[in-house]
Amino acid sequence: MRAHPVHAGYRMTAAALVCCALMIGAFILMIVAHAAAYWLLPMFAVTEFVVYKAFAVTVRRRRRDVALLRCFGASRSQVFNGVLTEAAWVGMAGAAVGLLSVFVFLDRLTFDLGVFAALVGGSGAVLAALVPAVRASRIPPSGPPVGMV
Amino acid sequence: MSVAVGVAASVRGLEHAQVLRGVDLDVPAGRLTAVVGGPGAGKTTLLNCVGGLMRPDRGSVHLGADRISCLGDAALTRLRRDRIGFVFATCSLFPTLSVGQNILIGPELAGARPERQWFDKVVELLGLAPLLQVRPAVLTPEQRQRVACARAFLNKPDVVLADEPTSELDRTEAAALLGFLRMWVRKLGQSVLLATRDPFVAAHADQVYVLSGGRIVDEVTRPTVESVRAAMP
Repeated sequence: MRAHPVHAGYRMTAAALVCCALMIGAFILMIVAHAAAYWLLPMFAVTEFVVYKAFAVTVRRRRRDVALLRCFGASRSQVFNGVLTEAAWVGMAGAAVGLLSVFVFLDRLTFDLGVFAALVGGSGAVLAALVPAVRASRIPPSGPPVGMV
Repeated sequence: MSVAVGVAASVRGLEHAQVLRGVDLDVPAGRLTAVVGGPGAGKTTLLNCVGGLMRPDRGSVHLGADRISCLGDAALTRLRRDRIGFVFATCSLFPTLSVGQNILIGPELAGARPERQWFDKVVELLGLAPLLQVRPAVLTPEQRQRVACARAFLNKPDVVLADEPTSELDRTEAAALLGFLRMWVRKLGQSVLLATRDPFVAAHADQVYVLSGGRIVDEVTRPTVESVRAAMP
C-alpha cells in the first residue's frame, strides 16, 4: 500500500502497535464475554490511555515532519485527519485481535460480531487519538530548525 | 519590470529583540536575487515572512499583486502549496518517502494529478531519473539538494525561496547547484530569492542585498565575489 504523504515521518513502533491492538482486542473479548461493568470500565480507561499514550509519543516524535508538511502546503485538517486515519487502522488491528480471541476462547464467529468489533475498536482508538490529533494539527509550519543535522 | 515579491516589514523576535527593522526590498520577477548577511542578520526571518511561515509585526509583504501579510492560516497554507517553492539547507526531505514521492508532495497534498511530462522534464534536467525509487537517506548532500530543487520547481511557483541551499556542499557542488538555479531563472523565467552568508554564492545572483542587524545596509547589482565581500560589514 502506498502511504499518503500526510503519514510521512516517524512511524509508531511495532511494540506500541502490538500493545494497542492487544488492549483493544482484550477489551472486545471482555465485552463479548459479558464481563461485569466493574471490570469493563477500568479496562476501557486503561485501553484508552494506552492508545492515547502511543499516539501522543508518535506525534511528539513527528513534530519536525509535520512542520515540514505544513510548510509544503498540508492544511491543519489534513494533518488532523491523517492522525485519526492512523488511529482507525490501529482500531481495526485491535478488532482483528479481538475477533481472533473471541473465536479462540469463546468459539464464536459471526458477521455481526465482526461489525461490532470493528465499530468498538475503530471508535475507541479514534476517541483516544483525538487529543494527539489536535496537538498535531496545531504544530506551526516552519523550516527545519537551524543547526540541526 | 514586474515585481515577484515586495517586502516592507519589521519583525520582533523573542524577548522583543528586533529581528527585522523596516527591511524594504523588491525581488524582480525572472531574476536570481540574493540576500547576504552573517548569522543572526535576519535572513531566515525575512524568507519566512515571504514564504508565509510567519507574519511581520508591522509592514507588509506582497507576492505579485497580492498582499499576503494579512492572510489567515488556511489561505497561507494554500499559498505555500501553490505559489511558493522552498529549498532549505538540510533535512528537508521526508525520510519515509521515496525521492519520487518527495518531489510530488505538493500535487499529492493538493489532491491534484501531476503533469507527467513536466515532472519527467524536471527530473531529467536534474539528473534524478535513476534515483526516483530510493529513500533520501542513501543520497549524498548534493543529490538531496537537487531533489529539494526539483520539489520546489515542480509547481512552477511565483517565487522559489532558497535558505542557505549550499551550506552542506563544497565549492564545486555549490557552483553546480547555483549554475542550475541560474539556468532555471534564465530559461524559464523563474524568480528565486536566495539567502546565504557566503559571498561566493551571492556572486552568482543578478542582484545582492546585504542584510545586517535586521536592516538592508547595501545593495550590489552585477555582483562579483570581491564587490559582495566589500559591501558586507
